Amino acid sequence: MSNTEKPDEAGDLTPEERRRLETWKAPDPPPGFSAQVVTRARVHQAPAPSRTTAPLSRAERERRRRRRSAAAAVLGGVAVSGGGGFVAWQAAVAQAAGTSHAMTIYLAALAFGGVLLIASLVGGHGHADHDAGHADGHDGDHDHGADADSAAHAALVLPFLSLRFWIFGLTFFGLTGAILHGFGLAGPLATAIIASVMGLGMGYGAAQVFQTLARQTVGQIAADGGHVGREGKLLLPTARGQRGKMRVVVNGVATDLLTETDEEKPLPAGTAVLIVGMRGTVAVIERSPTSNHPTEQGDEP
Amino acid sequence: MEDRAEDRVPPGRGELDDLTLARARAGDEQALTALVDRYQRRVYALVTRMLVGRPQQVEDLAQEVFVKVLVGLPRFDPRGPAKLSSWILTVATRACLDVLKAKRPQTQEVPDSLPATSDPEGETAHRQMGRRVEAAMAELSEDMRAVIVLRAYHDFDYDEIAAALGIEVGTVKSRLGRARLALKEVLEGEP
Repeated sequence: MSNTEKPDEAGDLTPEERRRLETWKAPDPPPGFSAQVVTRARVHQAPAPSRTTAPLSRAERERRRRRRSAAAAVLGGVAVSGGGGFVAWQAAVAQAAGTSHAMTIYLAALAFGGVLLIASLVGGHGHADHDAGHADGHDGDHDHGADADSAAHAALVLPFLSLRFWIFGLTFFGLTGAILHGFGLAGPLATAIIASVMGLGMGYGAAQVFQTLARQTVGQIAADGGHVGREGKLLLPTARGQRGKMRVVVNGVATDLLTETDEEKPLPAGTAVLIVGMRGTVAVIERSPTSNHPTEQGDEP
Repeated sequence: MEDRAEDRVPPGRGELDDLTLARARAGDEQALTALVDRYQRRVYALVTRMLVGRPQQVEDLAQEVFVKVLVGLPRFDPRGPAKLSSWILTVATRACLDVLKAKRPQTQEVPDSLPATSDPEGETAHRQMGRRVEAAMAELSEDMRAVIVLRAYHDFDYDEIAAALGIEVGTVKSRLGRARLALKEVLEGEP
């Protein structure tokens, strides 16, 4: 394509139209633009400091996905056969020896599940699903969003691997059984079936809900990884071991981020800083190499 | 007024020399800086015109464009059909369209200050015309604006525009024709 071969159809711009269009001037890039760009590109290509393991290859992700499938199938089989056996056993116990043993089991399940549930709600936010969160081999810092198939697959099988599934399942199994049995609202077999269904349903539902919430949080963190390479201004001083706060402007929207630094010297408020990595939602910063130039931040907060 | 021919250097001219390009593709920082220096005005001008009414986003997006360019540079084939400038401006155009199609601004800002010059009377008329063009361009759809910006300010030919936007040459012509029609008052009326 040569520029001497420009089309000259009737639809093309005339010289007069070009002259008029060219009256609209565009501004020059700001000083230090190229230095900022090169720094940002370099940081983008460098591994984030919080990353402790290399990203998984596609083949490795596929192997892990298969292993998870196999584990889920085994666990699912155990759960289904165990549940069916349990219901049959409950019915047999209820018919052979009265209902007191069944009530003991319901109350034991309720007590065990209830204590764990209260403990996880009061003191252990997020801990009850660590097994689910890590079962896929992700460490929270990489590969999120890179393997959507794997994430969708995990959503189906991970509830059975989750401690929350068992906590909620036992609690609601015990609660339902105890109420139905204690008040004589259903026969022994019907009580066992209803309690089992309730336990399975509530356990699966709870695990799914918490897993979805966890994925959304991880997605937010992964998206925040896009801040790496951006520059902003420090709002609160930051030093090694002392968190601060910075403001970065992305597409005209100001976002405040907590900050950490590994630099020797403390960074005072107002310093132009460069985000070199993310530790969760905390930005790891350094003094900007272009700090003698105005940043995109510009104004004081 | 200053002649700002550099931001409309035709693709294929004013290209980075082969040696610097090779060094840049190998990650040499000086060469990367030279590359950005060479093309920054063209990219900045394109982004400014595509994002008319969103001046606060221009610098950030221009930086993102160059980050994409520098990160993707090893994949650029210097012996391929596209010149480096065409490739970079294509990356810039697509990045602008992604932003424009993702989110529309609630308000549009048209700056009222332009650099002062030594010819106050002539320049006042020139500046006013520039503002009218800017306002009229802001009214165009992003697809039509992309075509006319590449054609008028960066001298892309129809084939290059079609390749940059992933559309047929016939579509390029029809969009250009509709853009000219929409800009008729500015392009043909009283200066």
